[in-house]
Amino acid sequence: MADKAYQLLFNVCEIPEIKKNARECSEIIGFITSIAAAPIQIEVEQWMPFLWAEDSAPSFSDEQMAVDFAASTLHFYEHCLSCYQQSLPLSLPTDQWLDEGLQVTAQGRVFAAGYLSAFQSIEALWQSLNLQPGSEPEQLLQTSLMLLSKLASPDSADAQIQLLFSQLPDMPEIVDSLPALLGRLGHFSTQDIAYA
Amino acid sequence: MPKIDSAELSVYNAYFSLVFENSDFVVINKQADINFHSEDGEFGVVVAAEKALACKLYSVHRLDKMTSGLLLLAKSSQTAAQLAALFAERRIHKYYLALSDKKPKKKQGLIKGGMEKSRRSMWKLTQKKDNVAITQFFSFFCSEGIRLFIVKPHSGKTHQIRVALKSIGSPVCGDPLYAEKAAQESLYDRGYLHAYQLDFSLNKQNYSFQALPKQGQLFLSEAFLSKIHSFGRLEKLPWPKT
Repeated sequence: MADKAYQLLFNVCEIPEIKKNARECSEIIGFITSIAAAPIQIEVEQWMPFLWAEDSAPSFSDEQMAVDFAASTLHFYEHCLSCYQQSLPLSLPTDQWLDEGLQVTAQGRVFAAGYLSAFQSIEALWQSLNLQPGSEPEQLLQTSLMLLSKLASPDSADAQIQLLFSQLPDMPEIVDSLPALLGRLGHFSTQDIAYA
Repeated sequence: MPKIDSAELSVYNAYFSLVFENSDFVVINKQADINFHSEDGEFGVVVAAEKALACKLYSVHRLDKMTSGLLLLAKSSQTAAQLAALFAERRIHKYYLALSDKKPKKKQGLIKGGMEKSRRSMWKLTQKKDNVAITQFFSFFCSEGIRLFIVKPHSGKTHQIRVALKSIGSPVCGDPLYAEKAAQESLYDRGYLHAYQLDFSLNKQNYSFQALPKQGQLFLSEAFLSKIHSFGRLEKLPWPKT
């Protein structure tokens, strides 16, 4: 199911016209993973246009291509929701996120950037949960954001950020832990639970 | 010419009235002050529609809690994907009606700007180039002290219309987030924003729906209704170029 959802989206993203105009597949996956974890459901109309490259509105030369693109992104979105509801690890293409030297690849960085980009656009919704400092959801959120930040920009020139990153797990551990971490975070955010 | 189907069918409840239904989708007229999704133990309008129509429905766009009007819901994931593609390409055209008791800085035109988060979950118009929201509008005299706005948003960003009208000095009457709260609470019986017309083409069939608001003294007034009827199809108005 998970691999199928990813593979379907990957195949659509490989269509030359979509590859040229839409965001990178890894970024789209990160973006949708984050949007699906929003505490309040964000409607397709609001997030799908952001899958296109910046400063351009989505357009397709062929109607069926538009439907295939929408269907594959919705399928991946539903997959994320399903994982969140059951608190299952997300099935993400993590095998593509580390190179032979165990450094993060472009795909890994772009996934993290996509997740963080979507998170920023819905941060107000997260804030509205008023997560209690030290609570499990708050710790999950902070940990996830820090790990994703390290994945997105491991070479940050900021000394303070570098110091923070040095205290975080190394890349293989981050890559290994993110699917379960993000699945658990999504579970908290999409459940009707008290955040006391 | 789009097919016009404004006759409302007779399925009513506290959440919505049914405007149109076929094998692919339904169009409902949502009541004001009804949540979109279920919240705090109360049904949202989507769940209410699923229960009333006894079928699974897929939402692809939304209306704020205070906003009433037309909502399009797919009956299958395939149709949801088709509608999502139409929304993504902005080929579904929506027209809103709003009332304000403040004169706008300009009577018609474009409101262009980005939106960024602000305090109290409000979003405000900014001059940033990213996240640009474009809103076209006309304004007309409606009744003493009240102006009618006909608004066409070009993206589905949260609170876009409410932010845009606030930015030209005309917040929506009764808007709990963007109007002056103390004055609004005593003056208005609802937030005066309504999704009035929805046009799109699906499977080579053109659809156009209109539905009048069913709540709010100002929306039910003779002055408002006669003004709206005089406009006819809103896409025929001389909209400013984007």
